[in-house]
Amino acid sequence: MAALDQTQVKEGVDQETVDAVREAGTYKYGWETEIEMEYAPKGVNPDIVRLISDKNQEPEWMTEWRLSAFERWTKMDEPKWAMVSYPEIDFQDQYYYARPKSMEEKPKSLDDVDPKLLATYEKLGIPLKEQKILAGVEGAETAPAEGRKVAVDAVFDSVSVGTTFQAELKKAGVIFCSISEAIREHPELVKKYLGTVVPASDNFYATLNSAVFSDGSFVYVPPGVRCPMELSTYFRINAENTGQFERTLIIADKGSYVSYLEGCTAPQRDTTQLHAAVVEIIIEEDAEVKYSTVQNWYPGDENGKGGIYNFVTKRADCRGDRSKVMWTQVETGSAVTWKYPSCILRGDDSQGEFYSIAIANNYQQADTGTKMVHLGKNTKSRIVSKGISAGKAQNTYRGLVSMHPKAKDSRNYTQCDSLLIGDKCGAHTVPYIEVRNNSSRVEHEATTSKVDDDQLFYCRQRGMDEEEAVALVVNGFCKDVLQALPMEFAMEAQQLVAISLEGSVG
Amino acid sequence: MTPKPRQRFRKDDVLTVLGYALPVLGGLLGVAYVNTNYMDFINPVWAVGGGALLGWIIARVIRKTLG
Repeated sequence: MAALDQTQVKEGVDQETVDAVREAGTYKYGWETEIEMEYAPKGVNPDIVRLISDKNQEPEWMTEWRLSAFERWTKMDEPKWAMVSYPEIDFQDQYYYARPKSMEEKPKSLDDVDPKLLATYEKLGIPLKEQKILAGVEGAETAPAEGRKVAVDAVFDSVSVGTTFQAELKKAGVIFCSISEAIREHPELVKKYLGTVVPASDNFYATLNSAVFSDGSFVYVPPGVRCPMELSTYFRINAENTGQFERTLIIADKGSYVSYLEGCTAPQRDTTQLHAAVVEIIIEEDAEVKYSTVQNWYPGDENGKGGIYNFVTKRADCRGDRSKVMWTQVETGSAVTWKYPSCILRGDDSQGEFYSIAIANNYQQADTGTKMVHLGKNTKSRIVSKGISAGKAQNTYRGLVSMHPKAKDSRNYTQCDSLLIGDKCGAHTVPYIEVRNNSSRVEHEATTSKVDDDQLFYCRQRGMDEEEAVALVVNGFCKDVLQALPMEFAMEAQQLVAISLEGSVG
Repeated sequence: MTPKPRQRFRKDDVLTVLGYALPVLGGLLGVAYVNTNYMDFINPVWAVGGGALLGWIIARVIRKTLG
């Protein structure tokens, strides 16, 4: 792109064309919103933890919970076992809380909302209709929406800007709001479930998150309710030198169903930023949860400068019999990814599914996979993981399948495929399998391949350029996972897969 | 003596076709079942074979009953 900047544009070529060419191949969401922000002092200490708790107007028990997590965190060491390398993070040299000054009080009308905030949502592709709702304008929820509805919770740095379709969801009994609001409005639910799936002392980053999480989403689906629309959360990091620590808590009560989507972007910067999130899902008897992620954090430039460090702990607890969970993730962004969405199959006949595409280009590093812990009888799990490495990237699949003694007649099937594009990248597979009973069956299939020259030649013969041909081959390679995504995300993910690999060939 | 005009669909023809069509349909249903209920981890060979066998048995029963 630097070369393009220096190129003299010919006379007669309009600015729109020049901008379109400039944008192609670059990170689409790398722009920054210049908005007045309010920061907590740099670093993390008990005072910062109390300050975050105060800003969210939390009750005393929550502040105590955070402080005890912080105390534990100070005694913990950063994990080093993952196949990723990055310079040491100075946890005292970043902000742990940042929010737009205009969000100090919830705006009452669209006119009160900072126009820059509205412009941000417009640029991110959130329709104007939703903008009104995101800004918290009363009555906007009742206006008819076109097409299929998706309720959105928009998180901007450390705060949730707004949640759409809350009133309509409330009619069905579904609670969908920011976690800070849930702590204030539904403390009994939060107290009952928070930290029961991912304990505050689970791991270094989860413990840090427990101490300093600022916002996130909360979902409660009551017994027997099928959530009338898809729920989604959009995470946007905007402020420089600020970490984002969000917490998501989803509770699917007996016989309920919910599909939840998650998307994220960040500005293009030369410095790295930390994102440490925790997602907890509780699934009761006969309930089902689908959780889809399209992760598109800034991955750093072609020389590995900048990008987001994405250290995430996600876990679903299938507590009830016949409960089901499905994780689907498309990981294309972030400089370093450390993420293992897990399923604890506690209830008898419960099922866990994990579908993943992890794409690493240039200097990206991804150490990702899943854990399937079979505790109940006749539990079933399926893992389909597709790793694609290009440039000088390193991609690792790390998975655990554990069959406990009481998990009689349980089944697991794992398919783990890696695709290499170029001769300087790496693909690694680290499967752990533990079977502690005689009646369970575990299958593991793995392949490593490179993009076949014959396939590329065939495509190029039909008029495609090399990048289009690679995108086509890669999309074919990923189709099992793309099919598992909800329709709204599948097309976006398909395009994202192609864009992420731009510049990886030739 | 003028020959009887041939009926468009004779019972024998239908019964003969059933003998081939039902096993094929059974096999196809077996494939569909395996794909929609993939978490049951059923071996597709058994599903297709079982479906075809079931179709053949149903066809036999129909032929015996109606033939």
